[in-house]
Amino acid sequence: MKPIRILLADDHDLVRAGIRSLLQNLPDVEVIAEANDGNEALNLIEQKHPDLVLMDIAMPGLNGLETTRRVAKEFPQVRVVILSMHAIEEYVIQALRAGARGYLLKDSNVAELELAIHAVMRDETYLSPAVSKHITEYIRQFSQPSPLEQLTPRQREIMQLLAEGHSTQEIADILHISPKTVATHREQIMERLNIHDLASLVRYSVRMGLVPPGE
Amino acid sequence: LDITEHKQTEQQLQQNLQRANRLITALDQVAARLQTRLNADQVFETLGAGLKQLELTCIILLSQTDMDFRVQYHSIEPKWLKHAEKVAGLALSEIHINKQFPIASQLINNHKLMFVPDVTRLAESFLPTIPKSVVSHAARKVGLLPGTPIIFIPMLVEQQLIGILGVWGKDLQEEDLPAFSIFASQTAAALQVTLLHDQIRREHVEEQATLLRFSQALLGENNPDAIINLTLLEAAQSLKVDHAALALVDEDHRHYAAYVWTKPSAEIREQVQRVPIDSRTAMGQVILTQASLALSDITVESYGGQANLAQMGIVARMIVPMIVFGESLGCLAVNKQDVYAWSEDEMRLLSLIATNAALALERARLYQAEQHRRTEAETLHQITSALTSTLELDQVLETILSQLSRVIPYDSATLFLLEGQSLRALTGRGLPNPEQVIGQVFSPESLFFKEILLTGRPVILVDAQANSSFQKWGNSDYIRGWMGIPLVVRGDIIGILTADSRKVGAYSEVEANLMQTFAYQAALAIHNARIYEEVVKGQERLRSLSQQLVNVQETERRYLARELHDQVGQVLTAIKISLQTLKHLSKDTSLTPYLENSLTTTERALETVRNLSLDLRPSVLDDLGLVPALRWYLNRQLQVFPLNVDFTAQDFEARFPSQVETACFRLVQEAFTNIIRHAEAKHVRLDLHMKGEELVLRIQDNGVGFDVPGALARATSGSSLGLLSMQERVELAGGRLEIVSKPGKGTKLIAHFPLAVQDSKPEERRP
Repeated sequence: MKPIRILLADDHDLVRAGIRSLLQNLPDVEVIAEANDGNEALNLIEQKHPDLVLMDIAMPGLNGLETTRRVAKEFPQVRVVILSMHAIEEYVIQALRAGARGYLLKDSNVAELELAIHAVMRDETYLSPAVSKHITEYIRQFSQPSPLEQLTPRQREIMQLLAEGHSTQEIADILHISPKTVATHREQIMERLNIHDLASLVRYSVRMGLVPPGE
Repeated sequence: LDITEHKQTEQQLQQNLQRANRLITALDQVAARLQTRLNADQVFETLGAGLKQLELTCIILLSQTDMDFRVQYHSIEPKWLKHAEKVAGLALSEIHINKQFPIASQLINNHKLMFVPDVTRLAESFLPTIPKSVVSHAARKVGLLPGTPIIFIPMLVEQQLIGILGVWGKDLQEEDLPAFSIFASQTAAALQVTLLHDQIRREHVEEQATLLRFSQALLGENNPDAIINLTLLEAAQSLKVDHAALALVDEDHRHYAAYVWTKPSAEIREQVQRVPIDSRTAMGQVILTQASLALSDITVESYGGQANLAQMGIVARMIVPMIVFGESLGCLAVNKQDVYAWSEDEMRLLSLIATNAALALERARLYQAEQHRRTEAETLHQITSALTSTLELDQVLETILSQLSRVIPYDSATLFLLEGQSLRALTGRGLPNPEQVIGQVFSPESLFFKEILLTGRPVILVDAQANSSFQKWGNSDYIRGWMGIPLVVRGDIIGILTADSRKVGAYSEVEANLMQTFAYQAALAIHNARIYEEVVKGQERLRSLSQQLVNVQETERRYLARELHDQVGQVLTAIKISLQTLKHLSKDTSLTPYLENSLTTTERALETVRNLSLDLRPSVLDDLGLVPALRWYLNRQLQVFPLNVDFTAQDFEARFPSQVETACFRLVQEAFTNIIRHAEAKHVRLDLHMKGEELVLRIQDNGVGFDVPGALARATSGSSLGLLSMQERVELAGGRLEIVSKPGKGTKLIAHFPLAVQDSKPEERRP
């Protein structure tokens, strides 16, 4: 079986040396090149076509996230695993967005390193347990509600009536509330959706399926 | 502060003038109505009703011949009067005043006006037999509260005291006396006319009607020339003569000017000017003695100037004085070309015309003086407004010279300010060669400057060219009249204002005084502009320093955080990896506990370094931007504190100017510190969105809230700097912070950062 050909990109010699010595203990892995920064990494990838890149985030010149983005675009067959100091979910999210296949902490033990390399080579995504156990919760916590979800049920009701072409007075009559309240809601709806005229509101409602088009 | 004081004084002046003007107008209206009343009761009622509209109450005491004045009329409410009379045990009609009363003697003997600031004291002296407490109680009943001023005005007709007018009301002022004295005399004249009217109705109905028309015609007239015109025509017409003359005393009180009318001319001409007032002329004699003169044949009397009159064919003359408040204003004469014995009725008629004319002339003079004062005050007001309309020194200096032309005429003017030991010409107007003067430094040792600077007084040159000490710069041969005025602020001379004129003798004491008044205002405006400039400069310096401080602090923090993380952190990581490798490779199991121990220690050190780095400045903020940094920060807080946080942002990827990102992040940190420490909030809502060109960050909690003004005041006094430092941070990044809170109502912080114009220097950002 052909060994997995790995490129190490990290600007810290000591760390690079440490990781290299860890990798040397793995039977089916071969470090074919080492890069000091993002640009050097891109050059080496083009020359040596590694199977996998272990990439630090904080590097001078072109940083790891940006390099990952370029690799994902220019060399889609090359898998990138981020090797970072940061156990911070934001970096994980950004790394995955940039196209990384895995996220590992630099101080991971050799067993985890091996696990990660093989998982990624099987086209799976690997996240270090130190971050993966919190990440779902983190994403859930800060997932942005859609603008429509930011409206109260009453506001959604009024928005639909507005889009259907009812006047403020009519809506007040239908909902048994004062026209002033309707106007206040209307203002808040516009503000939350960042829409400033009725025509745009109608278009938006059609797009969101609140009212059928052509009505 | 100085500006405010000035404005207040000026407003006071304006108000006083307006008030005086209203009073005179109102009194005029009453007087006009008086002239049309044909009996005494009507006169009284008109008077009382008119004064009541001014919230004034009046009383009229009349005397027949014995100088014992009894109440003839009053406008006191009958209900109150009944009360008062009951309390005092004395009917108002029983009260009479004569010169025995010490306080009344001045009034009765010398016809002096009396202003009594507090009526109670007076009432006590009028009624010596009644206990003071009773008097003041009674006085209270008729609206004479303690502290109410009252005035007594002699009612004079042709020098005769016919009565006393008493007026009281809470708004009366001593300055109103002249207006009231004229009014009293008009009332007296009206009374006299009605009395006379009854007396001579049988014979002189026609003349009387004319006289009434005359007094009415005079009333609305404020132009002295028109009054002289009307008077001469009236005198000629009423006394059936073809020749009439009116003499007016000059301002110096030593000369008079005479105006003459001759039939059939419609015009009055000024015949002679500056005739000395002495007994050599008949008119001079009348003015001096204030006694009427009836001459049936001037050829047998020996007065100067008679030859002139004889030439005009004048034979008989009658001259009556025109008197106001005991002072001769002039005299009025009618002339006939035949020998004529003047009757007493004719003299009385001429006297009445003269009295009316004198009052009208005095009134016109008062009116014009008032108008003049008012114009002056208005000009002053406009000048002050103009001078204080800007605080930019250059504009102030320009305004000073443009406004100066409203005060005194000049061909050129220059403004110098002291700079240490020298005088610099900062601005000028009308200079033929401004470049030779403006911006130049002049020695304060030159003669006139030195004098102004030493004495602090104006220097006036009648003719600068005739004065060898006058230094000429910049083609100044045209300068004849010259004046230099010190610019003084709080007793310190800060500069000199000069005015040049092509006219010899253009400036005198009068102009110098005017210009000095102006210069005080000008100096004050310069002073204020300078203070303002200093304050603005100071603020800018402070702001720039604070900004630098914040920038340096953030740069330092960022540097330290990076160094810790990248250098120390990486080395520790390398050590950890080595230790792991060592543990992995070592066959010697006795080493394992030591290696484990080393690994744990290293890990702990790594953790400490990481946290320290993040606390100093999270790398996420620089690497990924504001929104990820805020999410990371909030998440970190939520691990520790039991809070419910909502965070919405319009755009998760957006990057903003580094300063704004830093300010927002630090604002949120500070806000959370406050929320955790003080707010006792359960829920926090954070929102970041663009509104137009502004980035708006909103932090809202449902905690206990606080009193914003109070907290800001405490913060300013130094006891809690949190709010202020938040505000300052936001402002230094070019934004503004709204703090909305009330006890029990939670707290809302809204920071606005305009993004369109970011002129502030970006912080150093490492790639």
